[in-house]
Amino acid sequence: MKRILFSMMFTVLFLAVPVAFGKTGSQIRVVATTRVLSSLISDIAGDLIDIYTIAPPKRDVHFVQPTPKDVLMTKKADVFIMTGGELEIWAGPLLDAAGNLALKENKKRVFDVSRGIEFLEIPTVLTRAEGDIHAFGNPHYWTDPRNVRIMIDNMAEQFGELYPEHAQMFRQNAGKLKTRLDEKMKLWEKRLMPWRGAGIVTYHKSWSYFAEWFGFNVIAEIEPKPGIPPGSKYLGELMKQIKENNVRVIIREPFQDRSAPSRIAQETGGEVLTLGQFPGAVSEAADYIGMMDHNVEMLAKAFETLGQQNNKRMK
Amino acid sequence: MTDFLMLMWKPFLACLILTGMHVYLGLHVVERKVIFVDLALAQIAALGAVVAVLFHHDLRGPYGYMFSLTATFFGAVIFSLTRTRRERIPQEAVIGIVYAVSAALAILLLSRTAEGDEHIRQMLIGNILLVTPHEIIHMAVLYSLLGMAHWKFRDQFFRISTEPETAFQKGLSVRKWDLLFYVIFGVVVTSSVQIAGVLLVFSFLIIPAVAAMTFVRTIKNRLIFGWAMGTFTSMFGLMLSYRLDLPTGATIVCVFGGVLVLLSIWQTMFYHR
Repeated sequence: MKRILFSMMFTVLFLAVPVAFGKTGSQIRVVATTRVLSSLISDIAGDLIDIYTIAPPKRDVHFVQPTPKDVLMTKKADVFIMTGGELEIWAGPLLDAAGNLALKENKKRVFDVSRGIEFLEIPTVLTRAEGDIHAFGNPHYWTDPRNVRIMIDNMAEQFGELYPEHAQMFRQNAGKLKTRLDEKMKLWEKRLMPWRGAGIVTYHKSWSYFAEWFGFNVIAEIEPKPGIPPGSKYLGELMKQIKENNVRVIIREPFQDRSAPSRIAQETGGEVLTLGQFPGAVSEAADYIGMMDHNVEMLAKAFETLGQQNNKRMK
Repeated sequence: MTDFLMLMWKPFLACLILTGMHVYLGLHVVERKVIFVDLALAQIAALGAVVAVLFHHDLRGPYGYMFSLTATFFGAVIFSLTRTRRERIPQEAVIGIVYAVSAALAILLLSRTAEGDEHIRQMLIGNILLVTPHEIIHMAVLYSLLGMAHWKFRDQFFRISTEPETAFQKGLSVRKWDLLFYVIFGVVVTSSVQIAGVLLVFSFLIIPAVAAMTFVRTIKNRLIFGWAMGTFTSMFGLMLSYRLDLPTGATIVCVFGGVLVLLSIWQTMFYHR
């Protein structure tokens, strides 16, 4: 027994050799919860910051399990950026565990970028009793680029307050980014114009803002509640609604189940599209604009081909 | 090294407390052949939390905890009632049924609530990396009290676990002591699972106990062996998780598995009892 314990101890000591993390120097250390945030802040602050992102883009952002590196980076961070609206329910415990004094002393360093955003689907009855159930409304607001303009302004302003010596540069970069975004928004709107008002079905209630902007009509969700698989009655109702409204497009995210949407699409003659909400969710999308480019193009192509098929069937 | 210590002292303390309580309870659980009883009790506790949400209580608040504990109490009643002197149905079957039905019931109830599923899933996952000092103190105080109760009545508890037949003969109220055992066990599991998650709690409970039972005989030696193994394994797991940036709980579980395999190989090759 002694020999076992001895060898165990030896291995433990070997592993305790320190690990070096990240770059050091004059850069501002920023930890962002999602790739949307790190994409935007990188465009605004450029080389001034060293950015670390917690949530892997292809996974469900609700269920991130922070790793030791996540805690360590948060501990050393100068600024912690989050989406807010209770999207990151794991952020509170993560910040507690990190025990970062700089973040605790200056509340501005824990930066919720959702200030000034108009949330959709806010519960009508707001009692303390239902406190933990998305009381702020739907948190997926960045899928509407108009909200991203607000996020960019918030970032430039807050970083300007924290680092006044660079405020001018943050404002300029933010302006450039907004101009780029505005141009892209015109292109995206033009590309999807023919299908304004079309009905779509999404897997989870995460495309409400996107639909609101383009004027799509979200007929229903595939899951009645997050994590609850559709029951037979619900599925029957869903199929009926899809056929009645002539819905052709079903949107899912990379981490969501493929089988239920595929079966529904087969039976109703539609198509399942895998769209991303975070840069990197699909390989074509490197930053926020790239991600939206991809999503818009996928949608437009799907509508085009499905429209042609319909015409053929008519003949 | 300092980074490592700053980051890991809280999880390590939590692991020590878990080791202390669970290795001991694990000896009971393995003797009783009710290996999966903690999974069933954790699921019942989650079910209780779902009921709390249905009544519009905060899941993390005191009411959520009270509902969980009440639910586990009912679980304890079921498990103590279904253990009869002449066993016609293995108790593992009852445990399996309780697990499946309470998990399914939670899904049914959840389909009637607003969004809250994320939080309930969190209850069964837990993340030992993010344990707070408050949770550690809560655990330490609670488990010391329950541990003392077990120490005071150790004769009765070990008798009903290891030799129920003589307990029956001696006129010991086996059902009463069983109920007490499962109530204490339920409280421990409910609290541990919220912090460490079902997988890690299960490993702390079963693996050191099994290893100890293959190597040593007396309860005292088994406890020492199990505690030593739990301590070193959690230390090793925490370091591995830090070095390779892996999810902490799952890393510790895998290290537990690995250590058990190594010990078994070592035992078959060199060790003759």
